[in-house]
Amino acid sequence: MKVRLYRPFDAAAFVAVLPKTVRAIAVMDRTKEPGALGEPLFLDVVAALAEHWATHSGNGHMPKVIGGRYGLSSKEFTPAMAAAVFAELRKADPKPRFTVGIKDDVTNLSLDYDEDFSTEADDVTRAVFFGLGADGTVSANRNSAKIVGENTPYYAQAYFVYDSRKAGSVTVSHVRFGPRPIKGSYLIHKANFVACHQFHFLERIDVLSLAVPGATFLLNSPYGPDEVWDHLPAEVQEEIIGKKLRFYVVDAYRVARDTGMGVRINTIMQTCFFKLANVIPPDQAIAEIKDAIKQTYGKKGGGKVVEQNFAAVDGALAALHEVKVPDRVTSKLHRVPPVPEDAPQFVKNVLGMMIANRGDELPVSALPNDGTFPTGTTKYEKRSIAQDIPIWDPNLCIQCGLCSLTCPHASIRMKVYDPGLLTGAPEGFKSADSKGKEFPGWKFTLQVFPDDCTGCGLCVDACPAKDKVKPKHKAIDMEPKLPHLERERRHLDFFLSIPDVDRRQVKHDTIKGSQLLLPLFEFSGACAGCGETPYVKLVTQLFGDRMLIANATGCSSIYGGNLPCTPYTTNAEGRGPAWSNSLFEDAAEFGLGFRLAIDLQIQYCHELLRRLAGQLGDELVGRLINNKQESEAEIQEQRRLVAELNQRLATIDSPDAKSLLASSDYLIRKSVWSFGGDGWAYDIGFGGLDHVIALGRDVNILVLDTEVYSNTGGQASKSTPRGAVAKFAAGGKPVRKKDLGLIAMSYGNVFVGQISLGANPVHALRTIIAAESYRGPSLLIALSHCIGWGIDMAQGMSVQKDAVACGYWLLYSFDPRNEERPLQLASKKPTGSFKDFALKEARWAMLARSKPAEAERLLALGQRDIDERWTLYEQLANMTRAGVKAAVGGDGHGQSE
Amino acid sequence: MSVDLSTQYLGLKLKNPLVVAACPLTGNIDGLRRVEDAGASAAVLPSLFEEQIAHEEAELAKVHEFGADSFAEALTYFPQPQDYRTGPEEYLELITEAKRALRIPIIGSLNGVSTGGWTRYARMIQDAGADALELNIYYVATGMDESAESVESQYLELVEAVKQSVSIPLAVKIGPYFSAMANMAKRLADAGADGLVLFNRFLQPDIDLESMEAMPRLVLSDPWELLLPLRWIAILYGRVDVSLALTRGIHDSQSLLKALAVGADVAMVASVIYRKGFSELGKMLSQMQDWLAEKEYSSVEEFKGCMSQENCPDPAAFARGNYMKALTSFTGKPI
Amino acid sequence: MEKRPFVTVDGNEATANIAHMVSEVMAIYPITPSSGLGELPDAWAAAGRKNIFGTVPDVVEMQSEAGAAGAVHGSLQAGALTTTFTASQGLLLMIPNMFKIAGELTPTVFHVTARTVATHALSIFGDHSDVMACRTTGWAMFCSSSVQEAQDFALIAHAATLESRVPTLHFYDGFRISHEVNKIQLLTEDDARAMIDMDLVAAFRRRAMSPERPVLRGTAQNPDVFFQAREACNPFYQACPAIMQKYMDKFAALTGRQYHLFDYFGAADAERVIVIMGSGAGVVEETVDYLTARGEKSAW
Repeated sequence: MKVRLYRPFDAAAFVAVLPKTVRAIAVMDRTKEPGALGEPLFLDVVAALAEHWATHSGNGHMPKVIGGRYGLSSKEFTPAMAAAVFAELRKADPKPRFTVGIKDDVTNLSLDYDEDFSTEADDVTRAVFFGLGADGTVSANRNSAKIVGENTPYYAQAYFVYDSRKAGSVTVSHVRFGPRPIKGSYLIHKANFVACHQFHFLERIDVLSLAVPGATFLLNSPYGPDEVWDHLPAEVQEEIIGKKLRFYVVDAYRVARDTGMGVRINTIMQTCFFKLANVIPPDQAIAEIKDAIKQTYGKKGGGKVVEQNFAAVDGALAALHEVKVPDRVTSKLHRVPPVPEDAPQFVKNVLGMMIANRGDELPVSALPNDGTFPTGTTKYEKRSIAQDIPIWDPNLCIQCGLCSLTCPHASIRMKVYDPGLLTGAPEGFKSADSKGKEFPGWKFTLQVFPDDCTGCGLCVDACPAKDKVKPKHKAIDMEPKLPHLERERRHLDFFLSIPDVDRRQVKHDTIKGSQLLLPLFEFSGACAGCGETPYVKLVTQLFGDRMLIANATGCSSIYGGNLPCTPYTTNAEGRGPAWSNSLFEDAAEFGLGFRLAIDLQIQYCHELLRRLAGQLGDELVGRLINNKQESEAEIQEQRRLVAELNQRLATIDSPDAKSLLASSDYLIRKSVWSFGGDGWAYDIGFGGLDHVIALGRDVNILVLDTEVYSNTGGQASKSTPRGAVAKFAAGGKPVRKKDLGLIAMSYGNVFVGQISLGANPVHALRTIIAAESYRGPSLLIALSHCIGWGIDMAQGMSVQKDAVACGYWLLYSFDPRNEERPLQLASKKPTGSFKDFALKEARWAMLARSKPAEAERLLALGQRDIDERWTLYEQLANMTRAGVKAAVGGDGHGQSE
Repeated sequence: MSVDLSTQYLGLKLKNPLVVAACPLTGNIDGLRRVEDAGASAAVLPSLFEEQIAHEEAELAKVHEFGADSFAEALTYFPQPQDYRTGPEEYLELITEAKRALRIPIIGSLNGVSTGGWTRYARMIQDAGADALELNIYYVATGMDESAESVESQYLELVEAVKQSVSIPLAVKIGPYFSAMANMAKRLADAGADGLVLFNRFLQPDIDLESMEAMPRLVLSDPWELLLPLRWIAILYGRVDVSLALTRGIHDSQSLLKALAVGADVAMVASVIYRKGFSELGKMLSQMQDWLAEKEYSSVEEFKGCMSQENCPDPAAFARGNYMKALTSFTGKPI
Repeated sequence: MEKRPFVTVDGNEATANIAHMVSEVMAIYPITPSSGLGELPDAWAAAGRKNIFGTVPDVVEMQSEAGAAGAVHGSLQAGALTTTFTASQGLLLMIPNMFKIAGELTPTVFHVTARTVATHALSIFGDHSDVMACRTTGWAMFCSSSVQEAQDFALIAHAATLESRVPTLHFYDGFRISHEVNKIQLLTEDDARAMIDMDLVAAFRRRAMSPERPVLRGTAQNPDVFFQAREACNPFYQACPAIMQKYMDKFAALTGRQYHLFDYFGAADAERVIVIMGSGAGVVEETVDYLTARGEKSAW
């Protein structure tokens, strides 16, 4: 029975449609109310029936009613599961409450179901496509469904499963075509067509597990029909033979290259699909595909992009070949395990299953009951998604650290070390003499993490060291990965065995020094070339071993905490950022909560220390309470003292000693951070952010300002600049960007820094350090380039440079501790025009292309915004407290706080 | 005595031989108005650049596709594509608007890269109302296996194709880098060119020694650049049945007069306006008129070509001349 | 043991007194009729009154109930015993965080003066529409129906949640209880110390986020595992009622006032029963007493 009108719940109407013969009812709720007797629909049905049977007792026994949960968080709900519910109802003693779709081995509420049970009809084409986000597979399949649905009597259904990572994301498309309406909304488990659009998927994903015997398998392969077989993993060969698959290959990347399509292989694969699947005559399909291309790209007839796509479609069929399948498995290659054998148990048994697309098989007992996960798990997931990786030339390198600083994925790092440690280095391991005075006689190595690099190229863009003879050669160059892969892996293993330098020996406020500190944020799923993650990584290098992060929902919470693997990690002593995400809107308050708890616990610890001073000794207690913990050395000293304290506490048998033991960690200075994007800081969380900075507590707020809602796909925020095109500002944002920093400065006691790693990394670094050291609220607004700008992401840092040069983005810090002149501008007087800067980015260029006059007007206003802001800030920066005193006469009312 | 300054170019009757060449000044209606007010007899619009259009189309497609369909929360990063005018719309509107606002003839200009693009856009420019079309062909033959012959035939095929697709007069603007310029000029005329514009100047890469990078650079022309087109117009005058336009190095009335003397129907200017302002055009015209009057020429037509190779006292000078002469005069000087 | 004095106070003061004793952080936002619940501890803290742990609770006023809930969530995650007080739409603003606090099995108590949720009109007075809007959050809901119970249940709730790890919404009727002055027997700090199990407090602290032993919470999960992980909390809910009863029994042993999950009053052979929670219960009790005295078989 389908419920249409849930509320008001018409009990009489409900009972009226129930056949008199019914003996058992399962009410399915797609929600969970922990602690309730049952979920809402179930309770309503029970009430309706109970009332009815109470007043119509002549109807015999009331049907048995059981309540089940299904499909939480889009969990699959299939005919097999529905059948299992019916089977349960047939039992004399069915579970009164159940779940279906999972294996619950904790409270045993789940129903077993037969995975082979299928209601799929033979005349329905069921096709599954494995592709990359970047190759256009999804858009092609969406398009195919439209072609069939709108140009034939056939019915079509398409559904897409996306990745939790943004860089190198894998997409799976499930497409059905059939002669009757397609009712079942569930993924295809029995495919008669499987396409793998990326050859390298074969060694990681079991793409053929969904194929039924006799299905067609289409593979995008750089190897032709005669040579492809030997390049397949044995498991794939086995499935092809065992299931008697029809096997086709197409070298779609070659066709794409030849027709100028780059990495967009979608129309090529789509053409091959229609040729093989025979849903509609291939000629008609091709005509429709071309028509769709025209609609997408060729608004005004013709155009090069249309021509290229047409050529790709035409080239596809010639490149499509059937493979004669040998009758036995010959391959020495094997599918690689999702995580290495030596990974921790939880990573292997739980996260590894998720990585292998087998998370659905995990039982309830495998998962944490309170949402707590270990950190530092991305290092086990070697996705190896880069085509090209940076290769280091030690002779050319000036060891500035900019590449490492810039890398969004912490996949290029540097170490300095005693030359003695080079003993046992693998052949060819690269090193240079450490430059500079700090580490005389030591060696320096820059190492790429070849399987973690996304190939974004930001590091090469940042590298200032060019070869004199061949300036196109820099100290790091992007080169095709495969020839370097094995060697770089060996080098990386050795590099990792070299100990990190003592944090006390390094100048944290130099680029090079900061980059010798271990990043505690690595290999996230952020977009290749992400402009946010370099800041996040830098902050973890500086404070990660004592920081707590309250992360607003958004890009930073997704690359920060999306399963399976997460990037925040620990150092050799097991310390690292403790991270949590509350909501989108409350990261500032959530972070404030951390601070309140910590301060209270420090008070508690001090209270207990004083109570226990007799047993612990006044000296230890005094040192623990009085250590200011301002330098790295003092912090490390405090850790040592706390370890000593814990040892002594363990020998004292008293409730206070026990309590202090549970809380003594709080004696080590904590760095509390709230992270979030501009959507959070300028919009939904602004009220909270404003309140938290006004409270004066020691919290640090990092706004990763991409000037647009990045995670949800480019909607305008109040940070979006004038004239920029964004969703909900399709005609160009009409008003100027909100000046969050100026608002924060108005309190006077808030440290405010506006920074750009691309434009002035030293200023960014020092401002971050100053903000953290301030024992009050700090707000850092960090310019973060983003896909939503419409730029070449490999040049994001250069774009930031241009943004600062033309005055679009001001660099400054406002430090309330500076009694004389709190506001310091780090930007120089703007040079060049805003318009020249803006039109290099699609967000403005789009408007210039669609509404030239309006663009002209808004860009002129944008220039005025810049000029006015510069004038204002220059005045503010020149306003000294002495000057104010002089102006109001004597020392007037202006007492410092 | 008044001198008749009018001239015929591409079959168009122009009130004087001073035409503003394709440059950013003619790229908007305000600039065009000033061109007319300054006394120029026609304006060539900046080139509609097919490569640019294709590039922008591709870039916009890339912007819309980059990162799209990769992540459940962000299937796209920009609003649905609108009617972006990456195409020639803006350019065509400028032609139409200019025709409405100005009395002088408007010459459209086209720089293509593909045969399809050349013909398609040529027709669009004609339909928008241009009085004539200037094809700006500049091709850097970097291929080691690409022969001069094949390059030349590409030029000719192009001109033929465009000529067939439009009915307005067609000028072809080329560079000086042909082994056999005279022959090339003749073949272009045979292929359908109604006029030749000698010579185009395109950006050349420059080197930034600080950053060690190559960067495109467009510099204003200098007066000495006049000499190369001067020679070739002199050579071609009267020998190919096309209009001739001289562009490069026209910076004062003297150079303007020289251009006409060797046989140019018009002289095209741009850099001089950047250097000295629009008022310079009027000055050039009046000085030219004064000079012609003083020398008792009654019209530009009368003066035109008097110093062409055909008519000049020493025809050999244009074939080899200046070098020999310079050498003689040098050696003849007492040391 | 300190003597338990009899005092005549309103429901809010009775409750706030307990909250102050057993809390370390209170992030609040004023809303009628709960405002007094936060104002009293703020004044006590200003005067240096300590909780049973020897620290002065930190009372922080936020910019909204949404902000208060966020700060409470953060404070709990970082290891401080934290509470808040609210009502009506204020409670509704806390719902997003309440889901997370429960989903993370975090012990805490929110004291709610149940108030009408504004609909066709605003009303500052009492009913359960705010509390009932929180049914799906996964919180234990614990109803006291008199000034005495407001105090007693507050302490029972704080003690029990530490063991059950199910956060608890302790509510009583706005104005009718919150502002009713009644004579009650006051609980002492010794009572609070006797009820709060310090081993459970230590366990709570050990679960707190710390860079010394970092963990990750607030992950984003996909369809492959979210459902399973959501079912993993079931045992805590199964155990919760017994734990509540255990602490009611402990409380009874301490004070002599015995409460149960469901308390039945009236004739053992009753034929007609009223089920009710909140201040109306006292009314029914009085009525039942009256009627049973006259031979009616009723109960509640």
